[in-house]
Amino acid sequence: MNTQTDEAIVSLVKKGDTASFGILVERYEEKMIRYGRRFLSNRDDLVDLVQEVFIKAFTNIQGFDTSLRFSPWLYRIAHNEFVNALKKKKKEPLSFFDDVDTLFPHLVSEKNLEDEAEQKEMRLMLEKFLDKLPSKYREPVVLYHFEEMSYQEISEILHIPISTVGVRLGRAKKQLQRFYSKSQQSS
Amino acid sequence: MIHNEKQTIKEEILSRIREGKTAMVPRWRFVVRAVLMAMGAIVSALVILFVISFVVFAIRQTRVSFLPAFGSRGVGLFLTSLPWLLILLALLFIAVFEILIRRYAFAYRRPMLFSLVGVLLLMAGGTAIISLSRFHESLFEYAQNKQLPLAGPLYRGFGGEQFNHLYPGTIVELTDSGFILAEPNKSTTTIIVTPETRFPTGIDFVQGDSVVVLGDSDNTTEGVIFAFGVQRVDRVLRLKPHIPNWRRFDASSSIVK
Repeated sequence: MNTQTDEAIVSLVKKGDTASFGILVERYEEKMIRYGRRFLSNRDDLVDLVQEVFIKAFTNIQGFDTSLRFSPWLYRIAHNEFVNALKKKKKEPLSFFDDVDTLFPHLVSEKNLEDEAEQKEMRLMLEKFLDKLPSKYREPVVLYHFEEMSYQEISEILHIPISTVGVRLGRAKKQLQRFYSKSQQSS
Repeated sequence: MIHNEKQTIKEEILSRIREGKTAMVPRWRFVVRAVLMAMGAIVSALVILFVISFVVFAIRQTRVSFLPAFGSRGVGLFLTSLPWLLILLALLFIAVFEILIRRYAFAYRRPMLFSLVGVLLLMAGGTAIISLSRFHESLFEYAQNKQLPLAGPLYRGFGGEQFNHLYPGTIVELTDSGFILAEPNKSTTTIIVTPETRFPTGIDFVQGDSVVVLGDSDNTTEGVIFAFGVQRVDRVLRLKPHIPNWRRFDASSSIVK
């Protein structure tokens, strides 16, 4: 098993050791498929898109700064690829108001999940109602709860302010709670 | 299944690389792109700085900055005489600049409001420095002497008179009904003060004061203006000792009843 860091492998690839790119594909393939599954249900489309993500990463690898972390950079490429695929599929128009929460500063604490019980409840809600969340809330939720990324990493991937990450996670949680209590009432 | 899928994706990518179907974009292209982006941001910032400082210059040059002090009519005239085309151009370039800098982590990590406020503060500071340097005034002089080939029409167009209700000049003589105003083009105009005339900076004018008069011309007599408002431009001039035969202007005794 290769113990080199992602960034060290990228340096090798940049110097011409293109076979080492396979190690990065191995490391991130599953994560990319899992991430993409939150956007697209069609498995064939997903495998093609993940392949496209890695091809784009390889094509643009000379533009990657190895002093930074590789995974947010790769997730950024994946984010663009999946969002574009989703837009094509749903033919969603671009909306300025989707990003209005990036305009103003927000006061949000990084710890919005207090204990294990709450985390468990959150996971349960996510499994059931994630598809119902609007895409702008779904993505930070997936990155935070499933990919276990920090606010800063999510900010790097989505190119939104760190405080906005917190706001979107908080709003997503409230929406999930609403869906959950509605389903409890109806059952 | 997952194992096979993994093999497929990895093998597919590596074989594409081996066959040369997928190639790395050379590093120099990223460097060129980054340089172009940075240059785009710098050029946009300079254009914004030029346009905003030019708008400030044009407002000062045409004296429309004095209009709001004359009440609602003045505010209305002020708004209609602003160089809106230039203001829209500045806003357009601010949007372009914001889009360009949002690609950088220092900008997208913080709320857009912060970067907008930062841009505005930077532009306000830059505009203040340019105003102090008399950069636009010098170019305006070149433009008036037809020595500024490209930007000449811009300076002559926006720096010249914007409308014919505002009369800047110097009081050369105080009369019983007002005063005689010497305009920058050396012509003189008789200013008539009425009970409705507004004096935002006071009424104790003296000969030699630089003033701006907002008023309407008398349709029957040429060279006579009924003042809607009179505002002093530079209060220090009142103290100039070298003006011969100066006397204090008492507006209350000079009002045309």
